[in-house]
Amino acid sequence: MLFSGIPFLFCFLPVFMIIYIIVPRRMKNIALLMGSLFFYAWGEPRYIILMIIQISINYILGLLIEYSYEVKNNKKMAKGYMIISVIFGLGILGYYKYADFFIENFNNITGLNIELLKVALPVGISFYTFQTLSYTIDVYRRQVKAQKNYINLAMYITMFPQLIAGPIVRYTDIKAKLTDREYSMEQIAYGIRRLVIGLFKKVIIANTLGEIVVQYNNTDEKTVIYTWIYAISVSLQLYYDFSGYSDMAIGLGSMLGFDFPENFRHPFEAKSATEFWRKWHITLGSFFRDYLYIPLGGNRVGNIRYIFNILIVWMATGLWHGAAWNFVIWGLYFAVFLIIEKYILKTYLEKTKIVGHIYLCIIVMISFVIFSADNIASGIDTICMMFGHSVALSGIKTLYCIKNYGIIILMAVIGSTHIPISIYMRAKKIKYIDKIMDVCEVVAIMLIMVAVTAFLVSGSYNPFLYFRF
Amino acid sequence: MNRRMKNMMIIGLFSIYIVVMALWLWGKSDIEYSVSERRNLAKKPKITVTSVINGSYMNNFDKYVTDQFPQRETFRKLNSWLLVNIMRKKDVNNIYVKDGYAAKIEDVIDYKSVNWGIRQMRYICDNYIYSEDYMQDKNYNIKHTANSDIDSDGDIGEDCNNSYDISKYSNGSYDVSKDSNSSYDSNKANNMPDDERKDRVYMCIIPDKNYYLTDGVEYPYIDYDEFVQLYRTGMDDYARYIDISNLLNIDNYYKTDIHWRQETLVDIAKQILDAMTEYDNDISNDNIEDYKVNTGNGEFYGVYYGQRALSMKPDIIRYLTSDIIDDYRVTYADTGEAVSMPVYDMGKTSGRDPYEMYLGGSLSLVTIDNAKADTDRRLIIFRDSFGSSLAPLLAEKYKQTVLIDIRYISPTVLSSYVDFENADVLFMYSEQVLNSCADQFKR
Repeated sequence: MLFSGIPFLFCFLPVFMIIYIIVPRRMKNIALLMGSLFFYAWGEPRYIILMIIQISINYILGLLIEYSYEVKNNKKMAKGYMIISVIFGLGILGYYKYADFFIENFNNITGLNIELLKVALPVGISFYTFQTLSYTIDVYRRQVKAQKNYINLAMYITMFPQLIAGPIVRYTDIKAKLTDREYSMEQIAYGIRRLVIGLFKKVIIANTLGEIVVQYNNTDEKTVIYTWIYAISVSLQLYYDFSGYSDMAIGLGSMLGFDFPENFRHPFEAKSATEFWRKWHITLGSFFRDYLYIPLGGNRVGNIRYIFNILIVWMATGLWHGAAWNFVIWGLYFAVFLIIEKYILKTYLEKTKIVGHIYLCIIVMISFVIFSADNIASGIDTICMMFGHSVALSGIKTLYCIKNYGIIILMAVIGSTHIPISIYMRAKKIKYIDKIMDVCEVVAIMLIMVAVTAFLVSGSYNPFLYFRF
Repeated sequence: MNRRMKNMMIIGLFSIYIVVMALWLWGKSDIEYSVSERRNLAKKPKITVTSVINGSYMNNFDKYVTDQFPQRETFRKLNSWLLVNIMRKKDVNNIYVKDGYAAKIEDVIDYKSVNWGIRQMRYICDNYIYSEDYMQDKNYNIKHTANSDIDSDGDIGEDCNNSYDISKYSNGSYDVSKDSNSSYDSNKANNMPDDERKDRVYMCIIPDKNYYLTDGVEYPYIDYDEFVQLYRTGMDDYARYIDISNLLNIDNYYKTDIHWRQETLVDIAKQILDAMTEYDNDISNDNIEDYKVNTGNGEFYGVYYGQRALSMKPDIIRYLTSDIIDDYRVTYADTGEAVSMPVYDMGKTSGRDPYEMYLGGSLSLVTIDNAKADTDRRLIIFRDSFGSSLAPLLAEKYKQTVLIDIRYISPTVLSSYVDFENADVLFMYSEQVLNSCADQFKR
């Protein structure tokens, strides 16, 4: 079920929220678990058993890790259980997500013809697998106690706001909230605001940008300017699609009494790739940092080992996004820039902010062209066209695209910066204006909700890009 | 407004909105048909174990609640209004409005469709018009070689002998001079003298209204001349081309619809009849009759009106009658038996597509018998809905006119229903249909 769909907004959400509000406090976790299982089963009925198996095994392994420490006082045993959990989680993920990729490449290298498994990718498996891993690893690291209550653990992993596209909420982030949540009007109103803003970003901005991407892919007039418009659009579409989803998840979490971590902080305002990744998909970056990069030695190692660590982490980041070579290249592409920045560009970029910003925008746009390409060759073709290889500068269809989508692109660019929030915050500080702003805010939220409904009912292009991850 | 009040307002208004709309959604009765979109709306899916497990129930439910959402038309109009007035989009769902006319942006030649369309027409010519019997009558001693492969579903195969291949032009750099080497080889038609081999077969492509509405700069569109040239080249050995583009202008088209207006087509009919009678002494090319212009029932909201979902003034549908047209005997044979029908079905003017009033709309095989014709010649028209409105005018000069829509009848079975002997044949299609026929016809 999509957050940005009529079934969720006007069927599931009102019914679920009414049930969640009226059940007694001690029953809320069960209500949330049941609601989340229904939510997942709606979109992926075949794989709900798989998810329950993963939850159950990690529940047992969490208890066994703690048992190894507290009863047996045996760290090796605890480590063994943790490794089983990691192998099991990555094994399941590997089977469903990467098996065909490896078989295909194995066939290409060896000339064999091993049949592909062609298994469907369970929705959200990359996200909830990482959450289960974070739980058992944190229990092993003794950062948290194992969860004794199965319902609570299952509810944490399946919680529908963040189940299928993140943000990756770690057990340590919300363990306290599993048993003790406060509900305030402030929090619920904040949640509604974030939900509506997320819907606006996804349904109105990202989907419209998606039309440009589709039209570019279908056009017979690929010019330099049109290709740059495509690169800008695909970058902004990814941002609005995913950050919109994260806003909705954070908003829904807040309405249910949880505080989910932020996932985006105006990433296109960054002035280097290093800074960009502190602002883009923050929960994924911090997951790889804490569970892969630092265990590998982080940056407290020699230069060769540091470069090796970076390459491993970014290859894994690329592969996490999809089982295809263009994702691997995309990850390694960022690794190269991170290494160059560390050893060469860092000081220069810090001094010249405008140059740094232009540099970042260009490398990010190119990265998302690779990311969105069907294969590496078509990605390279598009990049060549961006720089004028074998194509005209402009044409009739290019100009029409600018006329047709100029305003939405401009809105999207401005909206990706801190400018709208800064204007809002400044206006709020002006006497009397702040009162007007409060009224405007309420009216705006409702108008956006009605506009979102209009776009959804008219329904056309409405995929969630990050579902495939 | 204090903070507490603001929060209460946000929670209250949001909750009221989603709960009220949810209750309205479940309380209202379902609507079967969307008049503006001209399609059946999704019905409530039946729940079964299989449909739940394979996910089809959920997908169908999603479509159902989206289609049956309360005030759907109002929301669709709001969506269009926002796109045009706030986001300043030039088109909505690829439909733009200029000078009061709505038109659809189509800016890419679909070479697959062009290839497919030419193959269909060539197949018909090879198998029914330039047939072995016909050529023997003409004393051409040609061995029958072109017998196209036919798929199990009645489609003419990709790899048949007459597999015309236009893909070499797919980069858009079309050069007519290269067409002397068309991949279509051995064929009876090529062995006939030029003047005679095309004396019965004609082709006419109706320009899309984009051609007259925009210069191609403000709104991109397909280069009609290039598009026509592709078909002319593909059919060069088979059909004489009748150019009507100079006689048309934007006034010949409805404002809210894709189609042309019958009451403005008298000159077009004359042009086509002149071309078809030029080589035939059996048919008089005197001026065709004077017509009376009649007005259909009610307002005509064309197909673009619904697709754009914006307020536009409706058109008024009109039709031409004359003493000759009034005496036509029209039958259709879609059910296997010939059933009489009126030339203009006024009942359809208030139906899902008022343009179907012309000769019943989407029918595979329609015959017009004209007892007042001063010739025994027959005309066979392969046509789409544009042809349905023009055909009553063309039929005046023929004893019998047969209209065939190969979207609904396979060309492979035509010999069972249509006699091609001594008939003129006109392939008359709109640009949009010919540019999408690979998918559209196969449906």
